Amino acid sequence: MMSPLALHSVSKSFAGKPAVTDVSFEIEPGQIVGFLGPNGAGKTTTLRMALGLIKPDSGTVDLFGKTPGEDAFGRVGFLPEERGLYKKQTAREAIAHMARLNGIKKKPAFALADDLLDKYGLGDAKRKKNKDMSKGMAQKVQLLAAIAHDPEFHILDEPFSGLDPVNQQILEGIVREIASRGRTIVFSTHVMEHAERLCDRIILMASGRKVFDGTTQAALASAPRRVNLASEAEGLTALVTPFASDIETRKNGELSLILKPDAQAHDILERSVEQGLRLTKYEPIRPTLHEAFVALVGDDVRQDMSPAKPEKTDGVNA
Amino acid sequence: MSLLPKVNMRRTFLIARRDYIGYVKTWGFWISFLLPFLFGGFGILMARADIDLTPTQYVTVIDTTGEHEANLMALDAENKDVQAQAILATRAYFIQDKKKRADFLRILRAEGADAGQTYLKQNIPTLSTEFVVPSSEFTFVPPPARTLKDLLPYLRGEKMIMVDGEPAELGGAVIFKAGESPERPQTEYWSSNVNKVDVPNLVDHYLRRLARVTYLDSKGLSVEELDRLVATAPEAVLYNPIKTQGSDQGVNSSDTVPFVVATILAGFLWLAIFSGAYMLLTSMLEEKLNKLLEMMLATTRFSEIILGKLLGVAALTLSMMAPYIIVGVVGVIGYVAFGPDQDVVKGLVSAFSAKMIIFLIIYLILGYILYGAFFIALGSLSSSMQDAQTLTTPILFVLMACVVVIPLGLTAPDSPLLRIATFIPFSAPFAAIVRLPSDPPMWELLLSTAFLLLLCIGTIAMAGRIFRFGILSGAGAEVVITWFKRVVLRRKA
Repeated sequence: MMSPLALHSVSKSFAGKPAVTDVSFEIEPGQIVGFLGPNGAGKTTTLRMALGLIKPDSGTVDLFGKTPGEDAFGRVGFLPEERGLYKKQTAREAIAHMARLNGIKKKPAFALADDLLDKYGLGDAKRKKNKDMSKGMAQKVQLLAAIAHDPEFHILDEPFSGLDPVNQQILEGIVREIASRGRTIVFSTHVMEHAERLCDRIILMASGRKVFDGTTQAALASAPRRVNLASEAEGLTALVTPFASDIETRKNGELSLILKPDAQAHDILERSVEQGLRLTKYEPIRPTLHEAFVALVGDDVRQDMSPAKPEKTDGVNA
Repeated sequence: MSLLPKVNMRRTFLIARRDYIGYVKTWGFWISFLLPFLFGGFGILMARADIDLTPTQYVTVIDTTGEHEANLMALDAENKDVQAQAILATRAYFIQDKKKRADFLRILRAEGADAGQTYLKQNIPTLSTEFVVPSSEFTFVPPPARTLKDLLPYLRGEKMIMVDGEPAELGGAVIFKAGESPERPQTEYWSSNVNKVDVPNLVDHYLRRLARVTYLDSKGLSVEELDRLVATAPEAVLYNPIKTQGSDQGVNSSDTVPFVVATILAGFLWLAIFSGAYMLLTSMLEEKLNKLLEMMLATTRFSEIILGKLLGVAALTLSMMAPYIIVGVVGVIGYVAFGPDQDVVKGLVSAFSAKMIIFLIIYLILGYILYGAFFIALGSLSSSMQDAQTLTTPILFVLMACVVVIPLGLTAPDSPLLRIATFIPFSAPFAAIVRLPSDPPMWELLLSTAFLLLLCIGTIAMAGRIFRFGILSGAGAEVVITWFKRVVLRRKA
């Protein structure tokens, strides 16, 4: 199957200030890809270039194998970062209007709007004007408007921002449901938990550059590995020092350490058994994507400040 | 490469339709649409109800000289007759027979409103509907007291006078006292309503006339004879040396109507372009604030959004003007079919020539596109109404300046300013339309249209670029100011 989106060494500057620098990646059909990065990382600019809304200064973009444009109309569902609806339209009119712009005829467009609103718990709001809806409801209506024509490829820019936890969970459900139909999804976010739960693959951006591109597991491997330990006997600190790159002693006497790259948590357990040191606590901490993100981006930011820095990329698709 | 951008008409129509319906659903649209009907209905209702909005003021005269009261009232009656004559004179437009029309006007001026009405009854019975002189704003009543001291309680509203058995307030009192000579009486006007000046004006008129009559009498001349000579003085006949229709080169309505029509049409054109372009600005701003454009751009071309908006707002502008257009078209067709004055009919037929209709449509479309594209571009750069007002001020000045050329078509159709304005694309639509009745050379009209067309294409291309930049950035007036400083003034922003 053809890749829905491929970027080849794409760069873009605004008024001489680089927004995106030499970014390349290719999205595989059927993937859920998380496009992560802090504010100002270049996520929105990259997605706009992917859709052809702005042209790259250098590099090329292939959307369904062609330059973004007319050929992709109706095949892409795009939810931009900035949200809005026509205030005087009803929810069903808003969804049907976008569906019709994507080529669906009038009657089926309104039937589709009604079905989607019923399906996602907004049946009562069908004839409610957008100006009278809550922010969460309006955001869901806009998402439904973006996906009503059942496109092959979805680009969702910060879809979770501004939603309360309940609506975030509902939105996660919608994303999973779309993916279950074999559709490809790229969504940008700076909330790691969503990416962790939803994504097959993560592309991490910082300062306009791609700093990581790979599976979630590969990203987690970049995160520091922590172990929490406690013992009533003396000598715990001396025992763990050869395995730790950083040791923190807490108020209750527990140690929280970061493992050296070549060390494993079970090495500590084995050594304590060998030395007869009884552990009252042995707790390897599962790394989070947030930690991986901080580790990767922090490193990149430091490198960015030094001249002639080679770009760091990790993972299977780098 | 095609000069014009690619456009999918279905998507363009959907955008136009959304814009149109979005506005039609607002209260503002229906208020504007129904306003002429509401005003018309209100006017008819008021006329039917015969409500007197300005009740008659009762005024009395105390003339201690015994010489002026009757003369003042005679002058008042004469003024009212002149007013009645002016109203009756409008019926001349409905008299088809030129001789009868001239006779009627002559009798009306020389012998007064009653004689004019009698002439109509006898000679043109179809027009002799009963004529009622409009009610006067004041009426003279006998004085309820003979001295000012006794009159003051009435003037203050403490006492009422009786008029036709009903109590009424005394609105004012004119007091004539002996002055330095009989023709220069000491005159006072007492009233609590200091803003109502019709009685003081009448008194003033009376005193000036008295001075004139006294002077003429002293020289042995008759003021009545002077008035009669003035009323029956011959009128100048207008001729047009380049008029070739028929043997008569005299100027009549058929010559003047086309100029009046062209001026009205240019005014209509200006209003349509102004209101349409301004609606585009607000529509664009609304679109930007709604933040839906970026989502639409994943499925729609920039050119389709711009064209859709231009079409939607054009349909909306025409809908808002529909009541006026319908009344105008029906009025013109009705007069051409049934109107009694054949000179006016000829003038209307000549005014709405094929050339006028074709150029009106061309200039309406091109003028709307030119200004509309500017307003779309500026709207896309604005992030608030304040931004929009700041950015559109220069182009609004240009549009306002164009109003100046419209009346020139009526008074000075050969003005060099009007000719120059025909070749400036911003003023061309209005200048060319008002010049059409004076039959300007066709090459001038075609050149003017070509300039306008070229600027339209350039403006659309520029508007497309600005639009693309404006809607994807958080642009505002400061972006334009920064650009101006950097590029034009070559300063560091």
